[in-house]
Amino acid sequence: MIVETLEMENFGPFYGLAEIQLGGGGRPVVIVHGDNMSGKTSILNAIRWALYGVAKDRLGNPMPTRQLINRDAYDEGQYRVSVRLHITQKTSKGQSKFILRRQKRARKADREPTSEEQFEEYLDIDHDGNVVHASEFSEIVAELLPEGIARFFLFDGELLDEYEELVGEGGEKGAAAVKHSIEMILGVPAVTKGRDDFALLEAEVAKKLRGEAKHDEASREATESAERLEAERTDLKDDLKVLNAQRKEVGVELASVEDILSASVSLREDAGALRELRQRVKDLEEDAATKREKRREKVRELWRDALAPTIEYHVARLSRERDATYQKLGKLREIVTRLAGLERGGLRDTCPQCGQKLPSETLKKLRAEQQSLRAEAEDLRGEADEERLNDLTAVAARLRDIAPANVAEIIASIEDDLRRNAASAYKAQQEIKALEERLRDEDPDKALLYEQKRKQYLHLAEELKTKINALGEEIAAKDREIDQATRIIQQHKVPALRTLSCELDLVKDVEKVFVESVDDLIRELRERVQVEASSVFEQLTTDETYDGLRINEHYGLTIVDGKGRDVEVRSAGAEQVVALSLIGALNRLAVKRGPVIMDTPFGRLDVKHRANILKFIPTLADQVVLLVHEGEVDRKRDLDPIASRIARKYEILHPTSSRSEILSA
Amino acid sequence: MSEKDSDLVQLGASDSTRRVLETLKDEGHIDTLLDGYRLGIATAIAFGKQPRRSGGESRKTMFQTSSVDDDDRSLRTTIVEVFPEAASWPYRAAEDLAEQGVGLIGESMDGDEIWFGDLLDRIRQANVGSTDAD
Repeated sequence: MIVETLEMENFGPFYGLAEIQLGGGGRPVVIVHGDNMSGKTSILNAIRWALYGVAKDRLGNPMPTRQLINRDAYDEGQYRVSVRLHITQKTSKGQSKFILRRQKRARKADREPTSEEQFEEYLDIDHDGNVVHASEFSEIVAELLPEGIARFFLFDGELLDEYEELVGEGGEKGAAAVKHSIEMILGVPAVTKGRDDFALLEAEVAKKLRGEAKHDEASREATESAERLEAERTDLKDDLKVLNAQRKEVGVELASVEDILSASVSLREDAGALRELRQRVKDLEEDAATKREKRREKVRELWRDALAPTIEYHVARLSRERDATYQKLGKLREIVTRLAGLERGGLRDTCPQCGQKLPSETLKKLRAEQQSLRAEAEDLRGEADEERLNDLTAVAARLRDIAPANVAEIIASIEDDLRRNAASAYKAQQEIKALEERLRDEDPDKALLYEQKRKQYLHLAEELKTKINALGEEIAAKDREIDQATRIIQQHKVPALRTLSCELDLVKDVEKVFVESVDDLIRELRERVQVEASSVFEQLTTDETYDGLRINEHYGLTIVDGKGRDVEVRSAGAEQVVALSLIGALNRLAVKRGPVIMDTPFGRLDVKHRANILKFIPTLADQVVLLVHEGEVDRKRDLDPIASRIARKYEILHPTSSRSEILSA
Repeated sequence: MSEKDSDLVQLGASDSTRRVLETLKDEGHIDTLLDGYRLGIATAIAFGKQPRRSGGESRKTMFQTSSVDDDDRSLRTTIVEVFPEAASWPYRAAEDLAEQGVGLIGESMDGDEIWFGDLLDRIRQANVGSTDAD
């Protein structure tokens, strides 16, 4: 398949009509130069959208129609977008020409659509000058380039990511889709279908044999047993049919819900964010309520902490006063003792011990001391009061008993949390307001409802899958039992059944061949992929120590060095070279040929790898469209060596943020 | 002994004090009016307010003294010691201090919100000088 011409109307940055000739008339390569954001990815997206009705954003998510329409056109009220592809397909008789057009426009042309449902899709097909009914669109596209393998033709960064996932740890599950696509592109389904056809044929012949065996007395028991088992198996198969139908219905419902959800990606995101924010506010409110309750409990005793500084002050004052009183009491006791001594001596003029007469001077001094001590004692008696001392001690103790509750710090910490909580709640409320404003004309609850439905369907699909698997096992067990009964019939070697018996053996043998062939084929194809990928890799790599690539059962490729050892660590550039090697190999081995359209393929590569890949690219497919920016490819140095293989060159100009133009370079 | 000389067995609050207490309770800052009343007394003492024996707005009875001041009579002990002049009328003093303290709490409110941590910080600040000097 060759895409000869791409026509776009209001698609992405292309306002009005834009056309680009991609057919090369024998030369395979078309180069489209453009700066970042100029619209290179839109060209890839336009082809993908025209064929499969899906355009992807930078994150790989499907884009809603509203986002596909050129912004200027949309603002002018042109609520429509369309893409037309002129395609040539080689056939056994020569070639066929197809014109496929996909258009989406507002159901009411003069009214701005606010949701995906307000857009209507129109499909037109022209096959060799004849109009074909739109209902055949998908079938024709599947014939030209099945969506399942398109990832290897419409090549963007996402494929690299998927491939890296495939070769990475635990990647088998995540990149199952890639593995399936690889087997599809290699034609494995043709053999699996053959295997399934012979399984059906075997069942038919066996049934016929058992039907005939009814007339044979010796085979009757086995025949009846087989019939009973068959009836049971039929019931199980009927149940399986019902379950499969349910699963299909769930799949359709799920796809429809996902379509609606994907069509309103921003609405869903906003609605999701709104739901999360509302929940956050609710959580914050609950948290605040809990904290306030705890604070109330602590505030009950806060009065003790409020009093603490005052009490501390008064306890200190009382202690000082008590100490002073205590000292004065001691002093008073000393004075009283001294006075008592003096008075016991009677202050007579002779010494009570030796009887000698005291000098009058000494006597005078003692009397003066007595007088002074009496005066001092008199002064102290007002202050050195033992009862007061006891009172002071008791009051200080009582005050000390009014111990602080030590809740102030806890309350302060709770209030810090409450302040932070209030700030977060305020911020969340502001965001909620902004989101509600943005969703004013939308119905976020609808997206939420669909999101909920999606979860329900996913759950249901999982349940059905489990039931179907269990039923499948039961049917397989019945198959074995029926097979056993049929073999018993065959063992009786009834002459009338000989032909049918031989036919059954033959069909079984052929089926067995097919069963084994599927595994052999996959193994063989894997080996061929490894050989082809290694051959491409040798052309692309600049490291001569690398010997080739080794494939694993999930089609992950590992670089092998000259000593046959796996190269564990590889750079992003090497990763890209390996991925390109796989793509090159698959294109060589593919049962379908298609255009390879690569968006920014050289982003991670150095000059030498780039040169190798550019040299290789013309051999990759009959049509290779490279969407590149200036930093990726040097027009002279990189493109001159392949000038003879380049059919056309284009330049995307980007005069305003909402408009781009395609010029022939 | 005149009525003025006798102490109170029931404590009351003016309308304005009661309004502040009810706001605190309604906004979920305190569990009971009594919690706020007791905190009011402590706040006034902590800020060095002096109890007035009479005057001010007329007050309506709210609590028994035994409810405000539990078994250990902590408030009474504090008032008697901090305000010796009120030793014979400690609950009359407590009632007046509650008026003043709840008023201070009311002034601390930021709209319907109150931050008790800030109030305690201010109390500590107010007492730094007095405790340092000693």
